[in-house]
Amino acid sequence: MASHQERTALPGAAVGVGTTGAIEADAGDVRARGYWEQAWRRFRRDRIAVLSGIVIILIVLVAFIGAPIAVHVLGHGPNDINENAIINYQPAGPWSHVQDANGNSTLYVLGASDLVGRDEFLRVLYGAQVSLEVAVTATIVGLLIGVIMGTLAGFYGGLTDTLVSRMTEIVMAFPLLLFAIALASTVGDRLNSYTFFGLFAPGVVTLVMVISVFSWYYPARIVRAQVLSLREKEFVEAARMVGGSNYRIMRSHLLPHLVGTIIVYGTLLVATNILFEAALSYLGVGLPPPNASWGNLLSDAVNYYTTQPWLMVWPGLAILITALAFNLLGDGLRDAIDPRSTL
Amino acid sequence: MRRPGLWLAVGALTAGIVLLGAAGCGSSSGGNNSVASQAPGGQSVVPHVNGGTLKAAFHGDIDFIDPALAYYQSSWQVEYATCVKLLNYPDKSGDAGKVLTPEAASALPTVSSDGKTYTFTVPAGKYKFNTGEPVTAATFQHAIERDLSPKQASYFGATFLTDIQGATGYKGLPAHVSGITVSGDKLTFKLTQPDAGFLAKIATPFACAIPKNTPVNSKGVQSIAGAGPYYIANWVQHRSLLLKRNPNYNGPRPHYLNEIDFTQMTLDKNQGTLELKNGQLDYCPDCVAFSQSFQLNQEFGPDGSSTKQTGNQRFFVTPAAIISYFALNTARPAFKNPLVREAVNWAIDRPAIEKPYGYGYGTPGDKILPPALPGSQFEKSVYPITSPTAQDISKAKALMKQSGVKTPMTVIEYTTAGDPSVAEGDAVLTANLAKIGIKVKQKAFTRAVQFQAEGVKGVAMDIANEGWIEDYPDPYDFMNILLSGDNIPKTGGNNFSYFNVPKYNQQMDHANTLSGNARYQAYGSIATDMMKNNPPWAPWLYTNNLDFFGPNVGCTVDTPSYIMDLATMCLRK
Repeated sequence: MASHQERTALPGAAVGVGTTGAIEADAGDVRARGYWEQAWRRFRRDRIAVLSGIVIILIVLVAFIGAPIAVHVLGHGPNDINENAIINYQPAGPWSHVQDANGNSTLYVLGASDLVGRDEFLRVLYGAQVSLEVAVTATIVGLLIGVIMGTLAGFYGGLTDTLVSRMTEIVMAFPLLLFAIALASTVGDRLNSYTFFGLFAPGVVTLVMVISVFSWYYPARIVRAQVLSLREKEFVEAARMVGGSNYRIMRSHLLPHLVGTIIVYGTLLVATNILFEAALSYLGVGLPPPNASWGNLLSDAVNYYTTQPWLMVWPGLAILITALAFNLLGDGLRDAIDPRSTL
Repeated sequence: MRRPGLWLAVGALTAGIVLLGAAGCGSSSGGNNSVASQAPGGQSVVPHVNGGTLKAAFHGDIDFIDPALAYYQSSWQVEYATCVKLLNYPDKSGDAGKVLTPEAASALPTVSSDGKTYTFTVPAGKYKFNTGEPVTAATFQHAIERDLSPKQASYFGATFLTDIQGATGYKGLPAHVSGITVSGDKLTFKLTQPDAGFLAKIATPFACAIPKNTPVNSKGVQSIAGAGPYYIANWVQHRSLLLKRNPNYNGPRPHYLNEIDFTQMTLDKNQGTLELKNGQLDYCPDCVAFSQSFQLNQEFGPDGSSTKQTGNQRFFVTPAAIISYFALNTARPAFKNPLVREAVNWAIDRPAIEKPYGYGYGTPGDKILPPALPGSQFEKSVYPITSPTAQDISKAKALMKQSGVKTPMTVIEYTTAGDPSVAEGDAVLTANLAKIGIKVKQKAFTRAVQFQAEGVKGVAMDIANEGWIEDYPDPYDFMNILLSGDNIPKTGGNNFSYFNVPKYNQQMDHANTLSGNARYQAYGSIATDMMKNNPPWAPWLYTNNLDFFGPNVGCTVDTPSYIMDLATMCLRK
């Protein structure tokens, strides 16, 4: 945290001039720092946010690079069935060496996940792929819809604003989870076959669509409020005076002012969507079997909560750590991007 | 607000861990020291209280309390305790519980020499409803005519009673069916053709005595008097069910308890198991969580640690006349060729499919008739009931090759959603059939929707993951109902393999005219021939009933037709 002395060292520091720059500028070579450079400097000082960012990068690496490596090293896949990994009608416990179908010994790091002997560790790793794919893609789609709707509503006002605002309120008033379940149950089966040439697992597109439908309204409201205020600013007046079209004003003059907000809200939304995906999968309207997601792993683990409680712990921890990391990163970014912040 | 998510998450995690610990630490109260003699399917009578309330719950709810409509296993269990029928099964387990004995009728009926006329004598007032109304011959006439009334929409009427003269084309109450007549205490049924299974049909809960003023109602009545040992005192749909001892019951059936109080109708199995273990509940049918059955057996089974200590066996595994099978849709290109269906039967790993259902769920098997059903003894096993060997897989592959079908081929399996055991069993099936070039894609539905969807003629389904519980202990109920080509309606069918082979249709119709051992022998040999040469199914499991009781429960009898006998249950002293 910046000291009081540092803050007062540059009493007239305006937006765009780094406060810490004052310390380096003792020789008189004051260098103006850009908005993003300042934000980056502030972000670097927030150790929790940096740690969260590192955790997220690690999770992404583990999910998309580590998982195939783990399959190669362990010699079995996340959906492979192994009867030997079932002991006394219970999934094998953590760090079990069991025989595979060929009679070779293979390691189950976190034990088996169910009564067909699938590997919990690999399923948590592959579940991370699904959770991240769903959460990030749904966030991007949700933000895209939200920003477009919010910008149009805020910029044009009048009937457009009324329409968008009422639509937002209508969607917000829906019993979200029930509606998402209904949507997934009705159209989900048809959408499950879309995998975009194998890029996504079956079911991911359904989840993305269902979650996106309920992710756009908060960004829309936030963006609308900001645009309402920005459209009255002098630079917008100036752009109009020089003949800038509405589209150009929105794209070149308003959107750059919204980037910070969008990034911050985006990271927070990813966390929310990870939880939403888990909730939907937990309720059985997520990914179809046999593919794993953290939600359906957690859902299956409930059956063993009295006998193998750790089966709830692994996907639960994964959800907790990832959602927490995205939340903390979002908070850190918000502090870093906020021009009134005084790190 | 800064980082509310962090504290919420940490708080929730802590609460979760605490609850988990609390759940795991639930102790099992020991019960008393009296030693009960134990028998398969239950305990014989132990020193018990005459009276008291049995604290009970259901996991899977009941569908109706109206006997014309009720068709859940749990509903029939309730009706067995609350109904009086012309003939009934004794409150006994094993083979003794399969013998039809007169109940409201004074004796078994007289049957005409052509086998088409059955005459019962029903002494008026031998049984009375809890309201005081006597049960008479006319009571049964009304009950069965109500079943046959088209507006009542009873599955029983439409399926089992069509052989009664005048049943087809019957317009409904208050008119009478020409083939059902009452004269004093005589009740006569005239059939259009001989049916050796008629007595078994008339002994199902559909033919339960109901008051003569019970209206026709396709949605089912919400309250109904009972003439059995107990009656339904209160039913709040999906909420609760209260049975009370029938004050007017003078029959021979046991009735020790004052009340049986089902306070929950959809209790989670894990929760139910814990509550039973701790004695918060006395009984919950179908409530044993698959993940806990092994431990329950270790602790409370016949040789369990707690059983040895207290002498009170609380966990029972009883074979039931229930079959689990994959119906292979013979009307679809994938399974039109019998060789492909044979290949499936050679390739599936029955024990591995069973494993996800937990300890004691059933016995892997390949026969159409489960061993608990008469006739099964005459059906021969054809396919591997252990995990298939390399030779079995080779044989399956050879059959596929011989069939000439193009592989790999994709088939659609209709299955039940929301049950991890089913999903895992399906995963094993998928892996098994992949070895012979069949790729299985699952379409999961809620159970009721699945059943309806599969029964629509022409449905784009290749495999149905199905099960069948006996309506009554007779092979007709499995073979003619599930595999006769005469039983393929446009909607609402049960013949999910759409199996229609005239040779077998005729053989099954003929078998139904036989009685006694000849009947069972005939059905057994038809089933063997079918499975060997033209298998409509890939049967994989004969299911058991799993029963777990609270420490205070005694006098338990698992009957062949109605699972645990509520009328027999008592509370230990």
